[in-house]
Amino acid sequence: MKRNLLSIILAAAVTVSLCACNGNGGSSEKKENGDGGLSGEITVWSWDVALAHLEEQAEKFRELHPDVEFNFEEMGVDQVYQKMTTCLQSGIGLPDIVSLEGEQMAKFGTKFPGKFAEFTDMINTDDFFPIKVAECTVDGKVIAYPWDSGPCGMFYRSDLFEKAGVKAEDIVTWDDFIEAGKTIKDKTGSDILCMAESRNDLVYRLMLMELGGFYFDEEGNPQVNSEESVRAMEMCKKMFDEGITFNNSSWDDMIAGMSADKFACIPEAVWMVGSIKDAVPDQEGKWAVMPLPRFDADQEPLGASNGGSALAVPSASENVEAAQEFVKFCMEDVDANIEGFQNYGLYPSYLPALESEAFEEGDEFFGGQKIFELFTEAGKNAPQVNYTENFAEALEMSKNSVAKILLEDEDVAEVLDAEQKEMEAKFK
Amino acid sequence: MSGMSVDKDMRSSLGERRVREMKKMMKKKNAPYFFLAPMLVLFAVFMIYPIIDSLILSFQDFTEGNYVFCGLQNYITMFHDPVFWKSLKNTFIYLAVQVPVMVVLSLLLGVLVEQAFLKFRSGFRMSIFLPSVTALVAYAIVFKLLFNTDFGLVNHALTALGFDGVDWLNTVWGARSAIIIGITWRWTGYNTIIMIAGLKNIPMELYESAEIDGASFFQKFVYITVPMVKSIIVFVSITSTIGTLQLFDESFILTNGGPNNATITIGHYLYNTGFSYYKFGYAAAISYALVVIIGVLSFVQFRITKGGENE
Repeated sequence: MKRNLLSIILAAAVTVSLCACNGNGGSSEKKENGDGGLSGEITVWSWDVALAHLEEQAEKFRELHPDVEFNFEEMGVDQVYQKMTTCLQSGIGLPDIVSLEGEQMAKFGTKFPGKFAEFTDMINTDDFFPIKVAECTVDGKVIAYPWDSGPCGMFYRSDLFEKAGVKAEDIVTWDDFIEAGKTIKDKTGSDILCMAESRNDLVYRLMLMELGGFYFDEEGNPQVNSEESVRAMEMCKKMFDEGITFNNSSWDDMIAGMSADKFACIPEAVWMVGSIKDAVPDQEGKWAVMPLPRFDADQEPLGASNGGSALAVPSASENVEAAQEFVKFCMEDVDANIEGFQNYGLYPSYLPALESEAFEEGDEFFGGQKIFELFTEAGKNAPQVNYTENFAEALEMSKNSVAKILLEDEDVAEVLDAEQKEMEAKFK
Repeated sequence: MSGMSVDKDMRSSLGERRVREMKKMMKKKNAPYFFLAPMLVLFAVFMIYPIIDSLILSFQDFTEGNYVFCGLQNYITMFHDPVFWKSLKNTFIYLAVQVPVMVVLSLLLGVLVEQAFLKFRSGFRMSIFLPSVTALVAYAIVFKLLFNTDFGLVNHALTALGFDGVDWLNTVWGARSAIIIGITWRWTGYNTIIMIAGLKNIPMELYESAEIDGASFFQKFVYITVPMVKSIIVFVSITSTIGTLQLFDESFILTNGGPNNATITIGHYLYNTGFSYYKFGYAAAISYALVVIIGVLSFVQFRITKGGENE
């Protein structure tokens, strides 16, 4: 009797799996048409503006390769990661092109080796921001195309600076910045910096990059108790101890703080330009940008970077060639890059595009300041840090260290040593 | 025409044969299995298989696209992982504070709503139950706003009453309190409804005779209501304990585990390990630790209360 039951279950299982195989295998048609041109159906996963931009570029691509069909699926960032995780593990249902955050590329590349098509021979890496190429390179192979970038600067409220009698040009070092912060607090009551010390380590991480350091060394070993790290963390502490920072607990909190004049500066990547315009449209003309302050007045600092995405092609795709061609088409076309920037605020990583006039124009919202030269400069100078597969976890640990040192007043060296030990234990 | 009828005959005889075969296969003894089969298949695929597979997974390490057997390494890592212990501690803080408060609160609310003099009873019941059907994200975002340090309604009310505002989401105990208040708000109503179901089963005669004996409201509550709904109280405590141990949403959305992991729950850490750090084996090991903890706690609770049975 039990055998009967078992056989029914087995039969059902076999039927289901047969159906699944059929659905999968049936679509492997010829990939090239008679002329040897590209063809095939390409499914793209991406999020809001990024997807919209790719959709527009696909129209142009189809003028050159009419046999390529596109299928765009919009999903949120988290949704992309969740679907990618399950699909990469099962090998079923992967898209042909997917956008991923640059910082996450190393994790995908290391955890799923060989699952992404290589661009090593297609890309001229000298044409892109070095930091972005580093993000997309895993084990010496370029497994994604750098897309939009996140070179950082210091956004500041020029009206609050003026009210306090502080001149942005006079702020060169972080020490100058702290002095200016005291004046601004005195005269206007606003903090100088939104720091999110209980939730974020961005200020520390940007300082660390300026000093040429990072959580990991070139080989990917943790080095959070390095000299640079201690120096950056001590500067954060100094700033916090002066009582001139704003502790927002979330992004929404920061937006609310912006409109209430709670703070005067946001250290952030160039994509913040769009976010500020959206969040506080009534503050037009009150914002400006300066380079991030540096540690030593006489030393040229390195640039810092935060965020930006990359475009990858899973190697399980049936149309790898067409997909890769489309990615190259979008990423290495000056006009496409300029359109993405002007229509959707996607700041390119592609240097030839950044040399065009579109990036020399002033921005009315920023009082006509030519803000983009500054970001391009920062992007070129950002160190090629190694994000490694452990970035997500290291970031959490680093956030906690910041909270410990600033909010619980623990010793900088001790906390960073403990963090180093924890990383060494976990990232074997 | 004739061809069709032959066809029809053949078909019916075929059908009959099949029915006969089926009858042979299905005896009185095994028939229940056929009826249970759909459910059993679903249960095997979606419950038994994942449970066994995750146990195997907890002895494996996910590196370079492959699962490699690593023995007890994940469990050893777990015992040395400060974040795991911290998340465990946080979860037990929530448990110790929140479950007793919620059980008492839901019993009191249940008794109040069931008072005979109350008008619009169904309206009250509904409004008490409403929080547990609210969309999670909406609830978390509203609570985030309520607990905002500078602009939140809670601090506004506190300062209006002459107290100092609290930096809710940025301090260790502030954030923990916010989460405890949040889950209490969300789940008290649900438990109240269960309590009401128990309260309705208490015979009115008990109260009437107690009234004749001159028992006060408080005496009736302690000597009649509580003993009569004891099994419900046990049920509510056990389900709430399990629910709190599995807590994820509040930590994830309201505080994001911060500051310095002061509010992270085991569920949240488990999620991070698996879906953010891609350490699937380690995540499975944590989930098995959670299973053991829940099992032990439920057993102890059951034993202490003797399953709610009255001796």
